[in-house]
Amino acid sequence: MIRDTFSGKLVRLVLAEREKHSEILAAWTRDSEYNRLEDAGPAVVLSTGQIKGYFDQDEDRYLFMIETLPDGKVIGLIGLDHLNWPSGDAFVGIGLGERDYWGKGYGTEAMNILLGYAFQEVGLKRVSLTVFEYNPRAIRSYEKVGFQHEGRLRKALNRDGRRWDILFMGILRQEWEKLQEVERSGE
Amino acid sequence: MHKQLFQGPMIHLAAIDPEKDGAVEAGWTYDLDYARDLRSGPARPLGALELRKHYDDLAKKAEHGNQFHFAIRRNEDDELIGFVRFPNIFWTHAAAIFCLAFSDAAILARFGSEAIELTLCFGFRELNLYRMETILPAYKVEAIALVEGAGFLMEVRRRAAIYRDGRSWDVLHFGLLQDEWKARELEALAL
Repeated sequence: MIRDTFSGKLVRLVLAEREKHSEILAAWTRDSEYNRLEDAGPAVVLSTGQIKGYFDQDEDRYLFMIETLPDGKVIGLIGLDHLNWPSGDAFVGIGLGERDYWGKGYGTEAMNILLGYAFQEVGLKRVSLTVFEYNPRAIRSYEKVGFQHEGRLRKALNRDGRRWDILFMGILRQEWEKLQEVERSGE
Repeated sequence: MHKQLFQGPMIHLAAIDPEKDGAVEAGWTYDLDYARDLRSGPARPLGALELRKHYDDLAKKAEHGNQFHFAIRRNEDDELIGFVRFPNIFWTHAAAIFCLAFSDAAILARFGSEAIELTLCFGFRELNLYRMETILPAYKVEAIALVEGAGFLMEVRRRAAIYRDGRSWDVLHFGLLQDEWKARELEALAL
C-alpha cells in the first residue's frame, strides 16, 4: 500500500499540475481580496492561458493543491519557494481560493502536512513566511501550527489609504519536532 | 536648490562598465561573504565573463524601471570600490530593498557612510520611496553598524536562516522610513 504522507484528516496535498489546475487557479485571481491576502504586488486577474504559461516555465517547483477529504474538492494551494539549500531555509506560501473554507482549520492542517514534508523529506532546518497585518486569520493559523513571530517590516504596504506592516514568522525543525511529540503523547 | 544626487565629496555613483568592472568584481568574489549576495545557490567565485553577462542582464531588467544598479567609484582615480543595487522596487507601496557591497572592510570603513548617504538620497529624493530596507546576516557587523548609524531600525530577525563557517546565523532586516530620514537631516542641519 502507498504510504501517503500528503494526507491528513481534513485535507490532502496533491501536486499542482498544468492541465488539471490552471483553470481554477485563474478563477481565484478574480477575487481581489484573495489576491491581496496572497501577494503584495498589485492585484491582477490572470487567464487560464497565463497560468499555463507559468507552468511551462522550466523550473523545479514544490507546489501543491489542497484537496478536501474525502470528496477531493480543490480549495487552495501551498508550496515552498526561495529555497536556500546551503542554509536549509525556504519560504512557504499558502492560499485558500475557496472562501467557504476559510477559518475552519483546512489551511492549518495543510500547513502542518507541508512542514512534515519540508523537515522530514526535504531536510530543511527552518521554514519562513511573510503575512500581512490585515490578515489576522492567517496569523492565528500560523501561530497554531507553531510558527514564531520574528519581526515586522513597518508600514511596508499601502492599501486602501493606510499603511500596514508585513510580519515575518519562522519555525525551526527542532521546534516542529517537539510539537509533534507533544501531539503524539496527547493522543 | 538642487543637490547633486550621484556626486559625493569622495565618491560617486556611476554606470556599470561591464568590460572593466567584471574583471575587478570577479576578484572580490573569492571572498564568499561577498559572493553569497550574487547568487541564490551555494556561493562560489564568479568569473569576469559570467559577471559581464550578469550586468548585461541587469541592464536589460532595469529598463522596466523596477530596479537600479550603480557602480560606486572613488573620485580621485575613478576606481571601482563597490556597488549599490536596488533589485526590486515595489512601486505600489513605495518601498524598496537595496544592497550595498564594498570590495573590502577597509573600503567600507572609509567610504561606507558617504555611500549610504548617496543611496538614501537617491531612494528618498529621487525614487520618492516611503521606506527602504536592507537585509544583512548577523556576522556582517561592520555593515550592521553602518546602517544603524544611518538611522535604520532592526525590524526582523530570522533565526538561524543562513549557514556559514560551520554554523547558522540570524538574518536581520533593517528598515528606515522617509519621515525618519528627513527628521535626521533636519537635526543634522540644526547642529
